[in-house]
Amino acid sequence: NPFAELVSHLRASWLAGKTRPMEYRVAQLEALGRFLDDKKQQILEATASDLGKPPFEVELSEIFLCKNELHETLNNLSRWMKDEHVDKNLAMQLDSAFIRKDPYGVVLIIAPWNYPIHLFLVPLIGAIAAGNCVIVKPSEVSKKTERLVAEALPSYLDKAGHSPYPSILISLQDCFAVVTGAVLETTRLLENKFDYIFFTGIPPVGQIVMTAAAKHLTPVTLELGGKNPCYVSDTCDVTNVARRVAWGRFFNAGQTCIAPDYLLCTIEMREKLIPALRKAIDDFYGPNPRESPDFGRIVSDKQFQRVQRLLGSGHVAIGGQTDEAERYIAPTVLVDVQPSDPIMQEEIFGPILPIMVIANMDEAIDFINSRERPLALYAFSSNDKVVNQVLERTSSGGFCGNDTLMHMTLTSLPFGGIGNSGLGMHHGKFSFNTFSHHRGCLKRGMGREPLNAPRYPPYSQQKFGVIQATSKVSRKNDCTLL
Amino acid sequence: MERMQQIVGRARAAFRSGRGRPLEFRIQQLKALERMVQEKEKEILAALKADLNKCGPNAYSHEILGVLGELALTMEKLPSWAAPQPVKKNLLTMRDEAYINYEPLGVVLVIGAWNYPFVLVMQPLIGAIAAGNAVVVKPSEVSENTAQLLAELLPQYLDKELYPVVTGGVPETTDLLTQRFDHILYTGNTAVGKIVMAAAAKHLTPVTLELGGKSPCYIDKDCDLSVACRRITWGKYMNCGQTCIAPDYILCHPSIQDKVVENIKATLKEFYGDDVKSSPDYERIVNQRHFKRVKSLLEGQKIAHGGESDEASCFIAPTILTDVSPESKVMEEEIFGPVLPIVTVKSVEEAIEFINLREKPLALYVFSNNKELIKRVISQTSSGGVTGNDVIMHFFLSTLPFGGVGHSGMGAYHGKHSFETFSHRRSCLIKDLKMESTNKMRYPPGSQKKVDW
Repeated sequence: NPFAELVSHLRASWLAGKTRPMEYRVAQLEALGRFLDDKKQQILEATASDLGKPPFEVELSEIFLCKNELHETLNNLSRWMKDEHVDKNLAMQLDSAFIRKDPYGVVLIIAPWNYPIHLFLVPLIGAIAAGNCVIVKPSEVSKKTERLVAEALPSYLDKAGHSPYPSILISLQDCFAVVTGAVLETTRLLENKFDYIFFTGIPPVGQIVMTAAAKHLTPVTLELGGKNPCYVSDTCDVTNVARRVAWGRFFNAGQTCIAPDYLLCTIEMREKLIPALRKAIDDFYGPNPRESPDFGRIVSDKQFQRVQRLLGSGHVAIGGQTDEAERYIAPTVLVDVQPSDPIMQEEIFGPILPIMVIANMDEAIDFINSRERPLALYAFSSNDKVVNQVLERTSSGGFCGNDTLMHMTLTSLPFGGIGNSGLGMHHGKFSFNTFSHHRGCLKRGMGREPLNAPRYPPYSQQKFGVIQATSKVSRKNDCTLL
Repeated sequence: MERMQQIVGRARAAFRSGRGRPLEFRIQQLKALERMVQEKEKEILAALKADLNKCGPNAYSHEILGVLGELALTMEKLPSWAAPQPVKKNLLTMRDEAYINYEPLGVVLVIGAWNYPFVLVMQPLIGAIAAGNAVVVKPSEVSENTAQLLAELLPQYLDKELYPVVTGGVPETTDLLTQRFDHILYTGNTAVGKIVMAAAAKHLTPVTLELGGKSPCYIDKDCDLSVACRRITWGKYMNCGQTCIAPDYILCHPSIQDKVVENIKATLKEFYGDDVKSSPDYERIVNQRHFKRVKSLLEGQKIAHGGESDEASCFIAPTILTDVSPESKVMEEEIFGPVLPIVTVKSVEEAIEFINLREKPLALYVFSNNKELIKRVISQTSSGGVTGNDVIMHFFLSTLPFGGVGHSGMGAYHGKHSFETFSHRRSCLIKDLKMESTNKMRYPPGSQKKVDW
């Protein structure tokens, strides 16, 4: 077990209580902010190299959104850490009852390649805020970013701390580590016992992670994916819909877990949408998107070949060009796509938008409900009722009406999947809660022992009556005057 | 296998029909459960007596009272719990609607345990129904009378397709676990908890595991020993020690060990009289297998009190062991019986270290007049829950989440926490199709000007 020593090293730091004091957590979080500032240029270069990421996208999705999370956390940390006092029943009025937020211990964060900074940093913020030690496993697919994180991150974290428990000597320094490697290393890493595992990736690997976690009864959050449907009703502003959908679909060359994966609309709407999408693509990327500095590339040859194969479904209405050397796939719209086509069988994770024709909203909803529950679901209509109908009659991780992606930018909304698209959630306060154990605590006094008498044997109906009177919860409409 | 597929398939179809969703329907089902508990009280108490030799007032206050309370609370609060929760917006989303929608997960599986066979099925069931799910109920076969009763009663009061009851043992449960559920709540032991989670992993099903462990009980020198020991005695020996949050073992300074034993002995006499076996208030071990298991823990130990047993009636007397070695068998696994080992420690620091070297327990207890000491013990340890200066009681406050951590479990329930456990929190952002100009900043072509703004 090549990682046993590392994990036990971190566990020892954890047991010494190093990561618990608020000052320590704040210091680490502020250091993460400095990492984003100091290493901005390297982040831009690494992600450009790995994914052809346009600088604007990096600023927005890998730096700005992370900073929002950081600031939200720093602004609220002391409040979140406080014991949460709860309502008490009559019998416990003089006791102290509260929920204590305890760190779990040693947390493992496994991050994917598509937003290689954001998707390890945002969970890391939550794990540190909650007081844990953390091992980060960035993706080996986004090679340059992996190297950057492995080389640069450790020097920002865990500088000169000391144990708050004077009786325990601290000679160990490490509370955080970055582990690099591919499938084999990750499998070996997962053999170890962690106190929480946070995984972002595809469902089959989610299953592997949860199965490994089960051996140690380790709780998990799995941020997975699926095919995010995008329903466009007949009553809408076609120009605006096209721009919002195109933006969400082609951002990061389609490699976004909450990108609109496929579009559902009537044939009449399709005829209007196609020219509108063509115009939006032209506005965004110019007549030749390959030359636009604002359009990304596919991360690897393997992914490129996978996505390229999907172009064989239906017919190309817009785009369709590819360049293997550059791993370039043009912003593409496909039509005449059948539910059984390859492109409708897997999450696309590329810059291709298939349009499936349906007769009406009911058919769209039935189609959506016949498939696995997605991470995100989109509905466009100028009619509120239509948007609400789609929302009410479907199930998904999150939902956005009349736009794409935007629900993930609000730190006050929980971000997570359901069914095949994942379990658990994070962002903002939800991250802090995810990485804490909520411990129910009741502190009583030693006095007033006679009040406890009714609960002790020998049991009697009379004693029982007293218990009922002091701890019963009854419905407010049939209350009895005490 | 096919039978399970059919039962779960019917529940899923019933869920998909949407009839379990409206609040009125859910409340109507909860009201029916309330009627069931009230109308069939005699039958429920009789089943508990047959399974565990629990007497009337005890069974009522430990199993039925809590269920009625949970039902009343849930029916009262459901409309407010289920209401969409608006969230804080930023400047960009100021004109939009942003909220969290509480939605059912789908088909929930509740696997009950045998030690509190009624409440450990009913409480999760209440929460799962309240959240709008279909629920497959699998009571423990070990408490067979209660299992049989639930199989008869639930279909009489509830929607048969939405809330089926499945009975059977290990093979039936294994079969059931191959089916796909949208949440599984399991109450039981750590070993089976791993099996449940591994089965759930195949379908990416979230789980709540209410497991167990050895719940430590630290008694400080500075405390009223007679009060502390009375409370500990109550919590330890109720249900013949078969309580997941019973104080499993005591940690105390050697100088008070004898006094602790004396006080517990005196309390036992107060509770059960001179002849425990004939007290109507003392339960029995659930079956032969567990009887043998608990009895074997006494081998080689110093018995300060008790130790008597009678295999025919699965009776084990309330027993206290002193000067117990941390390496002995009785300190390895959760005792789940009326045997109370005392391990001596020289200081509270030693007690904390002892606790932290072991798996995280479901409950942790500390008795002291010194508030700072209690604070310190809580802060320097981890456990599912805590009660200070008493035992068990944190279970009875439904505003506190009830659950384990590490080997003692994951997730929590009771009261509103049940509703949240069995719901999906769907984040919703509803924008306007107009106001497109505010979106221009985010669209390509990008530029430094846009970034700086």
